[in-house]
Amino acid sequence: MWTLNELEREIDAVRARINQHRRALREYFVNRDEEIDLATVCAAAQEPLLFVGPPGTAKSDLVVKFVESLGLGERDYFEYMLTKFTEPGEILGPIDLEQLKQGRFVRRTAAKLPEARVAFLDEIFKSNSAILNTLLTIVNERKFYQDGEPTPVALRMLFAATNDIPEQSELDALADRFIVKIETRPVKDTHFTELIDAGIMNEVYRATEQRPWARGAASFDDFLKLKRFMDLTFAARGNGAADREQWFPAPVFAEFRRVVRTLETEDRVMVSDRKLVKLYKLLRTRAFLFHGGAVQTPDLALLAYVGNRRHEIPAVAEKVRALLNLDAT
Amino acid sequence: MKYGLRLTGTGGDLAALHTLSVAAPTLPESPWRTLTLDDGATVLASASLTDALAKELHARGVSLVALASLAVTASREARGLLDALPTTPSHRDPAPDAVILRVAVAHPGAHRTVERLLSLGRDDVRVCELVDGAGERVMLLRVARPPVYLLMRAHDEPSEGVTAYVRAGDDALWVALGRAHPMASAAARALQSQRRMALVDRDGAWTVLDPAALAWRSVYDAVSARFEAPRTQWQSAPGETRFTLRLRLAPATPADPELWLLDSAQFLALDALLDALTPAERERFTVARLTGPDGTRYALHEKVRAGMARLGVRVSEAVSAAGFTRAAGTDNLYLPVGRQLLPRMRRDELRALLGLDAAHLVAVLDTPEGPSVVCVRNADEAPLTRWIDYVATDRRAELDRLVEQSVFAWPELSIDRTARPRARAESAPAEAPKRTTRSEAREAAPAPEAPAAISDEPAATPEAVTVDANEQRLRDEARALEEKLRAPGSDDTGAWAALATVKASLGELDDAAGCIEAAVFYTPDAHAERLGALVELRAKLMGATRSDDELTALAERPRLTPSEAAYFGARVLEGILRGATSGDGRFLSRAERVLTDPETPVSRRLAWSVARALHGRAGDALGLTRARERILGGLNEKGLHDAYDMPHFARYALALDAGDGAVDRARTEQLASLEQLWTAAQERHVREAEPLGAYLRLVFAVGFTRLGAIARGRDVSAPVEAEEQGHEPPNRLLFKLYRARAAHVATQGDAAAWKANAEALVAGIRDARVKDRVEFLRTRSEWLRTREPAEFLPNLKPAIERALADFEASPEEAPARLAALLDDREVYAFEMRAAVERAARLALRLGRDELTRAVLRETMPRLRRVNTPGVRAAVLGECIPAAATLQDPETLDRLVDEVIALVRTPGTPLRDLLLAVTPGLQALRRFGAAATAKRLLDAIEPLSRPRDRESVKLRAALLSGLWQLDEGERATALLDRCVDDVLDGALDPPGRYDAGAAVLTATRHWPATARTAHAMRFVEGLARFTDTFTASAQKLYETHKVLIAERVIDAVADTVTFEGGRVRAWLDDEEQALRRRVLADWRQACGR
Repeated sequence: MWTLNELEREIDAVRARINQHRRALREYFVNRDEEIDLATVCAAAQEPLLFVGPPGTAKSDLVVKFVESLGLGERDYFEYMLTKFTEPGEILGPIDLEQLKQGRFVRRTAAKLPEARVAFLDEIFKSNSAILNTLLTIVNERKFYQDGEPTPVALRMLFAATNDIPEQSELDALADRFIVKIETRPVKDTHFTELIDAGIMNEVYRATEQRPWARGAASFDDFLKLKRFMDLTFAARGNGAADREQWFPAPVFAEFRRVVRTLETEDRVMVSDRKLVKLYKLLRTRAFLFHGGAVQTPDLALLAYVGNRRHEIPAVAEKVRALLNLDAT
Repeated sequence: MKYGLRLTGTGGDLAALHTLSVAAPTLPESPWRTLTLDDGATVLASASLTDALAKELHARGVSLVALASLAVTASREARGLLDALPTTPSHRDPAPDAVILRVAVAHPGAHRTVERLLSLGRDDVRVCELVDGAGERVMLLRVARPPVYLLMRAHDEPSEGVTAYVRAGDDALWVALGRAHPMASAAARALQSQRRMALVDRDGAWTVLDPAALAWRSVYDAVSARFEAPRTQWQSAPGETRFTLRLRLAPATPADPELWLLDSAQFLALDALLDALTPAERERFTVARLTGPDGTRYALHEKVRAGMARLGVRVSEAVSAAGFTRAAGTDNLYLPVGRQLLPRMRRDELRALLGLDAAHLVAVLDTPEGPSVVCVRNADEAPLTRWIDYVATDRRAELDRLVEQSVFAWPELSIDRTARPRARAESAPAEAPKRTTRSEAREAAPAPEAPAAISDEPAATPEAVTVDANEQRLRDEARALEEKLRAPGSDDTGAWAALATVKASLGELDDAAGCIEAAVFYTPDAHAERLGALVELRAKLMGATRSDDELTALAERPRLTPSEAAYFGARVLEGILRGATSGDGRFLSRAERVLTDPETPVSRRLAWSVARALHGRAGDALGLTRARERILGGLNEKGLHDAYDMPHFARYALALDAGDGAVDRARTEQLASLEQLWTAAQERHVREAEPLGAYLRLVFAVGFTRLGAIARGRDVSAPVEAEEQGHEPPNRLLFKLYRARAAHVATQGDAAAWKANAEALVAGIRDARVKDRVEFLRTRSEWLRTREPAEFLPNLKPAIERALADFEASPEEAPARLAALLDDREVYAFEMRAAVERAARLALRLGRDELTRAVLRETMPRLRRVNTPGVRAAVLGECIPAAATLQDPETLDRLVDEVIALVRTPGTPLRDLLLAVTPGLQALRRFGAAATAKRLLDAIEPLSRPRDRESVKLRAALLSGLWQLDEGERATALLDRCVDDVLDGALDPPGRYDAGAAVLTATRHWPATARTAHAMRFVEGLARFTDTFTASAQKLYETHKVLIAERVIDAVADTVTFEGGRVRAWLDDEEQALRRRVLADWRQACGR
């Protein structure tokens, strides 16, 4: 594993490559900069990201191209559309019958979620409680159980998509694990011509089996290095306060606190303690990735994605922009 | 100044101050000084604290400190004791209801604060300006429900220069955010008495203001907006250019036609349609006779109220003319169906261009040569009914309903009869307009002898009622025979034959014919001689000529009316049994297929009689088997029809027997119940200008309207319109939707129009947040939503889809294919369910018992392969109805055992269990398997004892079952428990609503009194139906209260009462008898 000294030597190059990768990926989509930026930040911070939107708004295309651009092998990526009839075996792998005969309940995980480094789960809230529970453990603790024994999973990046966020209490736990959620909207009304042009190019790429985006500027390792670097930076001074003092200026931090409090009080957006800490890490990652320094007020725009319910997401985004006066800049 | 009072920051300070004000009452009003010591403590000093007072206070337990010994770091002068007191930290609600923000006008923070307030949409802020003691201009902003963000910013950022003051006592005392005044109430009272207000800073310093001198104004008066953008001036130019446009007819979305321009032949072709229309439907049409260059034309016009479905397409089919629709936005311009005039013109230009003002109607014809315009002036439109001679009617269902409504349970009367000849009404009033249509069309037919004619003659007065002794004897005789035969499945053929004779003598021809059909059905040979009479009766009722051509024409007709079908059946049966039909074998077999078709509106007895006679005589076992399958398949799919398969007298008897009487009486009872519930709801839950009150008014208004009390509904909902502007926009839109619902119910408009209206209203909402909140309630409301919540149905694998399609292609192989699918390890449980469902329904539709049996034979041993309990329950829910049709108690018992096993399997979700229980109970009841149903109910009952949501729902299913099995007492006790659990149980808000809705739905079949009592408990306990965090976060309406009110209305003001559960039960029993008879005949004929 890389040390801080090793990483410090090359972190600027890593950061530049990831940013170049982010900008290059935008070329293949129409008006999806926001989604790509957020996906990049979440991938760098290794936090799961949920896309919420109607069918046909490039949710899966975005994830697939993002993954392909990282140059991952087939076995590193797992993609599945969940239904309420999806069984754990479809996600975690079938039971190993040979082992079962010997009384061991072990799954064959090859090419399934436990062995993938990046995963995309479509219609995640349609799954049943058995899957939900398994996913909770995987997202939270990065492990699953083999014959009662906790086994680590290789998963580093998780993307999920849904048409809607159902208002059922049993789904709240999983929904809360997605610290940020972004709404994908159709762009045809605002970018009709560009959409047709880009769509046709995509069809051409598909027909001719080309994948120009696959020559991504950054590699999967670059994302791992950035994450490792951030973790080591958090730990460098021994406690969280030091990191905040150095990388989160007090006025911006006060602004962060005010916005969170306003969303909780006025918009009833639930921000749990866990979510708050993760938001801090995401803000730091975004700031470091985008401009290599301390968190600035525009970085707080990330708070626009903390809405939990379907109807909250656009309202929260609008409110955060108004509070931070972002439209004026 | 020698002495001071050292504050300790405890409750002792207030006690000391109290003692001090008792010892020297003028002291609080004298000037004070607040001293801050080097250790941070506060001392209150005053020149009035003399040695003598210090001594007295010491005696009372209050020790003063000598000022000389203190190290003072800061001091502040105060006008009185209350001003002198320092503030303390406050832990009050950080979201106060109102604040005053103070900021120096010249400070950049003032500009930022005003701009942010407006950016956050807070334009209700009031501002005023003052000059402070130092001569600096200061701005005060008064903000109701201040944004948390700005409060925190004022608190955290001293550089912002904004101080926020929170109201501490009425409007008089405002203390800096995060601080509290220790004697706030006293200070506020003192300020009020002086007509002053004060802003208290963090350090306790007071700014005292005269509220009357503050000139509050709108925040907009404090801003001067600028929009920096280059401007260009454009001049208007006089409009001189005119373009010449050619109007043309272009394709458009077809709408129902409403006008037809017909020639004489087309006009006469209406005859067939008129037979099928109800009087109300006929009254929609007017006719104008026109003359033009092509001779006489008839303009037929259909006029309906907005929202009602038109008959247009049926008319177009009858007259073979597409017709015209009215052009949008005009009163009298008609365009061909599916065409529009393009380009669109302004209405006044169109009027001038086509002369719409001067014309009665203008129609644009689409001819091969191009459009041509027909202009009709002064058309003399007369109702179509004036062109019709009514000779008789066989619209039996309507007559039945009419007569049923006039059945009364009078006590026995004895009437003093005077012998007078029976008055006969004459048809055709002399002054009718030229009655061409019906009479001309039937010119060739002999004038039918009308058994009862509808005439314009005034109704007979009570004195004119005469009944001769013979008629009375016949009626008595008829009543005695009806008594014998009114039970379902009565096979006393002698009684049927006798009743036929009596009914014919009484002039009740339709009943007489029905009785002969019954007699022939049970003993065909014994009553063959009556077939002539049957044909004669049916011919009279239909006005038939009895010619062979007519019979052939009827056989070729794509659709028969009930009287035509009955006549046709009688003729065919007579032909077969007496060899009197001129037709050949092909004709007879076609006739048999027509009659045994489930879609043909004829009694199933007659249909089977024909099939049995035809194939029985010919010894055609295969033909008889197929006829049996068609008859039984029709029964499986549709059951019997109350109009063709139920004698009139049985309906009347049921109407008399029914505890809650005839329809009108039931409706009156329902209205009384609703009024009672509304009074309770109004007293307890309706408050002026509150959303819940408005919603309850609208929901009850829909209920009243549904029961026909439209004016009462309008009264109940009227206050909502008056207070509407006071409600939030989403609520206003939802009110509009509920009103539209009431209008829809009042006009009995069609579902498509309602759906279009509701969706258009919602689509018109531009603000996404408002729309979101409207949709939140709309999609949950069974009344307002226009599509059912999507049930997730997984996709079947293509291979499975193909395999299921093969079931239809070759039904004989379906059981084997089903077995193969169920054995396949790759097939998922939900796919197995789809396979069983498809196979069982196919078998039932085809009416082939052996196929049904084979499907069950293959499914039952493999039930345990369906390893998901919920899916297995659904499979059982398919199998039980199938087994019930076979009347096979053994199979039924085994299936019910499987359900019971599921019930007893720990961990089977109750929700899934309902998939088997609900359809299972329905089928068992329908096919008379009462004992099995009871066994199932007994097994489930213990499961439903817990008080959670699913158990209450399961109990609601039990309720329906018990009630249908006539276990009223048990059901009532269970219902009481259900309501207790819903209202008092520890359920979460969605669970409480869900369970409550299930219970209310289950009571729909109950007598009105029992329903009202339980519905009342729901109305009284409405407050228990709270919302979850998410639903209440809307803060606009109380979702579950509104929804449960809807369910209450559905339970009390329902339509099930009118449909008559008893009629359905009679038909179910009759169906069993008929089924047994058909099978017995078939076995006898085929030797099985």
